[in-house]
Amino acid sequence: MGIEMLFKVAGIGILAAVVVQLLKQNGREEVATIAAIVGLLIATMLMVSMVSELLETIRSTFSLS
Amino acid sequence: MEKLLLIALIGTGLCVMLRAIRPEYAFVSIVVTGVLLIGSVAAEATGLMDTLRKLGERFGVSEAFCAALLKMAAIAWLTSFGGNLCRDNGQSAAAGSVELGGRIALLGCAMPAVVTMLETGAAMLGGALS
Repeated sequence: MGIEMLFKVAGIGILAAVVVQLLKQNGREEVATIAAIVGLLIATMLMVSMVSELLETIRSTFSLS
Repeated sequence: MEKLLLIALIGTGLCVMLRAIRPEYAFVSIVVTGVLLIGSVAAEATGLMDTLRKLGERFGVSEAFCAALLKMAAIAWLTSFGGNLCRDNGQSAAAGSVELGGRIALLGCAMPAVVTMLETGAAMLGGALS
């Protein structure tokens, strides 16, 4: 866990933006919507796993059960 | 320390950039920044917390009270983190609820100590009166 996670999220965001723009220009609106949702879902899953990792870290720092 | 500064600066920059392209990723990136920051602080604080615990043991502070104190510190830390994140993203109501929940949890942690203190006071008063 480090600064590369931040770049990963930013990369997913930029990639999703590009893919959505391309799909919209090709006239595939619904595929573009699905692509946007999937990109956000991937980023959110990354975020949730990091938050759970943070909770584990804090649990061990404060030596809670 | 300089790692924290680096993470905060890069995270803020990426968040500003992503907000212009796709605003929903700005939220994810600011949460990831906060988690990274607080995670590295927590990793550094482990030694400090162990020292505090050892100090408490050396001066005869009860283990239960030490654990309650550390638990309260963790709750306060997490709730302020979550509340600030919600407030940053414009959700003051959610931030208020998170902080209220944190306060109630803190009160619940403090209750055994309060009861012990009251019992000690009552025992002292009872001893003086009889």
